Amino acid sequence: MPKYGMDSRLMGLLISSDYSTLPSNEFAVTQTSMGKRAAEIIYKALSEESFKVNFNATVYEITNELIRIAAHLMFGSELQFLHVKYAVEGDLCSLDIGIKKCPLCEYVKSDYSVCNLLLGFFGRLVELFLSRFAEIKIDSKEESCIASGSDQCNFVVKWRTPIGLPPPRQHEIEIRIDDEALEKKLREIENLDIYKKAVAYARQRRSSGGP
Amino acid sequence: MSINSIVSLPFIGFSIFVLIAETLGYEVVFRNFRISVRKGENVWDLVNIQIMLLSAVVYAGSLTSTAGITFVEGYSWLRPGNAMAPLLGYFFGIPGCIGVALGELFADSFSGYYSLGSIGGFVGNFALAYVPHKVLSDPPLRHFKEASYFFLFGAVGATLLCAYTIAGLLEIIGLLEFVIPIPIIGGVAPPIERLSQEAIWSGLFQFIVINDIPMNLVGGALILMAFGYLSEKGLYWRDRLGLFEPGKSRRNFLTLLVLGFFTSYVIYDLSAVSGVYGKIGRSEDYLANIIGIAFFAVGILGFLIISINAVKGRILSIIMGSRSVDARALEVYFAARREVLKEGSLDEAMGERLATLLFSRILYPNLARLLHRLRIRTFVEDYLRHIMLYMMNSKCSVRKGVDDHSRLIQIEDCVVCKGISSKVPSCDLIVGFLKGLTLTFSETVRKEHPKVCSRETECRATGKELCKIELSWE
Repeated sequence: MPKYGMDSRLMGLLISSDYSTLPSNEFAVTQTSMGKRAAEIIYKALSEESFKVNFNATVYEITNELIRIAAHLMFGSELQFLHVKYAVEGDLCSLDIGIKKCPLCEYVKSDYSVCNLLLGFFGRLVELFLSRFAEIKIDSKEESCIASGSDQCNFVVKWRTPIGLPPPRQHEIEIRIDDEALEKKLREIENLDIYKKAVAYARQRRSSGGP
Repeated sequence: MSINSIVSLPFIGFSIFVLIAETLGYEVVFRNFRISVRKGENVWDLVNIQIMLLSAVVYAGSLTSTAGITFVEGYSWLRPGNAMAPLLGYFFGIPGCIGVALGELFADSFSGYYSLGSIGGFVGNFALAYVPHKVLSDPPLRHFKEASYFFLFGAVGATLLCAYTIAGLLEIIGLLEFVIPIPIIGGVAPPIERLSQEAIWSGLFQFIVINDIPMNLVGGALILMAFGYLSEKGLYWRDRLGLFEPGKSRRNFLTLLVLGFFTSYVIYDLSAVSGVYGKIGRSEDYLANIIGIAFFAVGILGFLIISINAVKGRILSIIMGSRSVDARALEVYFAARREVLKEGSLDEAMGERLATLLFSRILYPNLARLLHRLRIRTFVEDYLRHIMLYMMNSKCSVRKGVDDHSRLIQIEDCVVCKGISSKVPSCDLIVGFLKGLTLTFSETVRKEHPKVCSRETECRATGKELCKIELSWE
């Protein structure tokens, strides 16, 4: 339990408020942008010190782990993953993220998907991390959402393997995450006071007017 | 075995049956003169365990500090402390009833009545609190029919149940030759007074009846007087049903019950060794009863503390304080929100909307019963700061405002303006949030439409020590 804990449903309520006041297009765009910015802040804080790259792991394993860790830091334990899995078709890679419990759309009933905040967050995280190795362009989409009656929120993040790089092999993308080890890593990261860095970076962005 | 003790057997059986059933988590239901038993809700959360212990302390204190006021020597004798039994039973439910039973045991342990016969006192006093708990409804004593039921069952019935249980068990224990002093560690056990059959039924039984009927009626009056305050403070047991996840609390309760028996023995032992056993709570010598008075004062103080803070804090921490994410994630979210939405990202209107949603989606569905007890002033004073803490991670205090319809809310560590420098106050979101909560509460619960105003008078962003928000309603 976090020392400075709060209820992540507050974010869900803010999103519900935005949903009821903004036109749907504007809602989607602003929420996605917010998600991207939140991802940038968390990623920056993580990459500065805490999120060490394990050279024994593949880039796909690290991306998977990064998504789970960053989402936990930003949205807390109420956000629960069903799966994070890869698929490859030629040079097109995709990451399928399933969420079984989502505090962000808990208070919204809608005909369409509303977790744009998460969509922007996941897409930008993948982009930021993979761009360390090669320039890639991300295309992300929320395919189903609990708010619109589905039993899970499902996101697909797609990108093309940069020219010159081999596409991933099957064994590289079949990733098993050890929940216990991940939990341990999360605790370690939290103990490094990652939030202090994130908040400092957020303030720095605010005073400089952007990233 | 006397005819009286034979008559007492069904009373004893009934008292023991309800005590065991309710203690083990079953609810005894009385309807149309039929009794049935069903699985009850587990009420043994932390708050109710505290309440049980405090009830024991208050009841023991009230018995020993007011014991034995004699009106007519040999005929009329009153223990005003007994009036607390229906009060504790009604407001606190089974935890209060068990508290009363334990309180009687504690009182016996320093007033000189501690023996195996105290089992009768334990069971009988449980019944004395239990019957009013079952008879009275919510709100209590509002109709003549209920008042007559209370007189018949809550006062006369409960008293007879208590009197027959105590006197009957005492005689049976005597017949079984169990009237022996309970040994003590570090000294000689004080002698025990063995009552004859005549003394039990002509003395003790009559004293209990003459005392408990008027005292239970006084208890009914106390319930009427205290209902407004105690229910508003979240202490009425029904209002908290289903709010807590009891977990292993029944085991904790049973452990504490055993510990309560052990504590009564320790008190008995210590008072016997120190020579005060039998001198406290036996007369109108209030100097000698000072320990009882201290017990009573400590218990009442405990209740005041939990009524002011602990219950709401606990309830709201369960409803909203899941602490599922570090609160600084909210700062990250606010920063991202400010970057994208610029103007209006965290303005007053947003705060009001957020408050309305929080109230209608989280607070009201979970706490409707409790919220309906509150006046606007109590909601502002008791609830806002907990909501601010658990939802906004902002520690705040509520002070009196310029009049009875206004309050000054001081925020120590405001999540909205943290790290911001500004020439003007910047916590518009909080200003709207507090206003929105007060307004939504008034409209939804009180069905009133007051004019609510909130204004930030000082802000940390402008270099002040605290953020201060004036909140008023008309």
